[in-house]
Amino acid sequence: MSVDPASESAALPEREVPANLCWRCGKPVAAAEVQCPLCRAPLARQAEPTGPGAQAAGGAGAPLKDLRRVLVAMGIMLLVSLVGGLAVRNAGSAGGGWGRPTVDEALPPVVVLEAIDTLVVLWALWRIRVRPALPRKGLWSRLLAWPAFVPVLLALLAFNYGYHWLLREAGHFDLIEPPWLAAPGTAAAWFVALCVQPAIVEELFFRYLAIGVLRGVTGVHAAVMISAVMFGMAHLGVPLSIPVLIVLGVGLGYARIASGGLALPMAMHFAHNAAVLGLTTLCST
Amino acid sequence: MANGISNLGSLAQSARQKQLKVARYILLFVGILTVLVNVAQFAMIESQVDDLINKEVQGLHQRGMVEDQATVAKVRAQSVRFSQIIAGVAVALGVVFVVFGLVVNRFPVPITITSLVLYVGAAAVFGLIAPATLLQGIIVKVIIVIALAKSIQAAIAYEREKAAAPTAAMPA
Repeated sequence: MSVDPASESAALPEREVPANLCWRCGKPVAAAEVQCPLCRAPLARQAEPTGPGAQAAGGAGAPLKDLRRVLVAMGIMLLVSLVGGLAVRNAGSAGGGWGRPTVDEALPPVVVLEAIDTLVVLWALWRIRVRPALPRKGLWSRLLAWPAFVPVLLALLAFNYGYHWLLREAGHFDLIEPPWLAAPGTAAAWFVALCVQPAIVEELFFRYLAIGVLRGVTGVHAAVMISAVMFGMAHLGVPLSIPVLIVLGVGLGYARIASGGLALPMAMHFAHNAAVLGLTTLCST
Repeated sequence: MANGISNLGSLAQSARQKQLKVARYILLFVGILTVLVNVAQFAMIESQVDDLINKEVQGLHQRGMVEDQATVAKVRAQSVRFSQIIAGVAVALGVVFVVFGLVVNRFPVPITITSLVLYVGAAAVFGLIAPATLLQGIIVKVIIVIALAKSIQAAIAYEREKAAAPTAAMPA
């Protein structure tokens, strides 16, 4: 087990590591600062740290290497979703249908797919070390983010329902079917597969790893947008829902930024998926 | 000596700019091609769906089964609408690539990363909808992915050097 050089530098007091020079006043500024303490110039998009702190943090090539790992993990997840989706469809057409599997046929491939996705994310967590690129939030800011994001979640749910209602009206097809209505025996398994696993694993990958790594090469807003596009594209199985999922990804990304942690986006993701399935079940019954 | 280093730096920057120009041409090419192909596809959707449904119905007949006309009509209508929406989304995606090609020099890092994710993701989505498209033009697809990946690398180095330049010129 190798010693992490960044953890050694993290042990030093923050002010004693003048890693950057302010682009406006030219005075030394600690790497963690997002604003120059002297002239108040915003430092969020400043160049890579150039001092000894930067060397300790892994050098200029480290963010690129981590970005490559995130993109490789994303590619593997896409490939797994593609193979899994084709397997689910084959399971459906094998039964003489129109390529639409029954709930019992769909559950095993979905469980295998999510297990592989979880392994990929665990590999990425093991291989990628996210630097503390996001500004630290105070306790009050973190606490206030929770009630502030309740209306955001409601707006995202309303947008989701409005979008799918429009699609249903335009296309005359059902997009979401509550699976446990067809097979109540598998309700618990579907609940874990659709609400619990995505809220944990997807948030760890898209909101923690992706935003953390992207923040090392671009600004906060761009990192949120790119991670949202990645999140949307990862849902291959529901191609028509990708635009609404990208918008959901933006909301969850900003929840991560505003709260400074993963608990809020995880709770929002879980609540969103549970609400969609609960409301769809209610409407169907 | 310092002048020599700065000349080397500007040479490296111009090489990165060249790579970004390649990314720009690729994005414009992919975008325009996606728009054209999907506009043409949109016009042929009904006949393609009819062909597929006829094949399915013939398969049922061969197994000694008889199709339900109402179900066939419903499936046909749904398939046509689904394909039209997918083709519409693909046209929108093509427009996004064209816009990305136009602004890649302004926001090199976010645009190149998003383009790569969108390109690979879209190939996977269309591969799931129509598996035959996965292997169509696979060599060109691989070349595009490699070029976009190289562009990300060039964009990051370009942005970093651009951001570092004014700091170096500042009096300490």
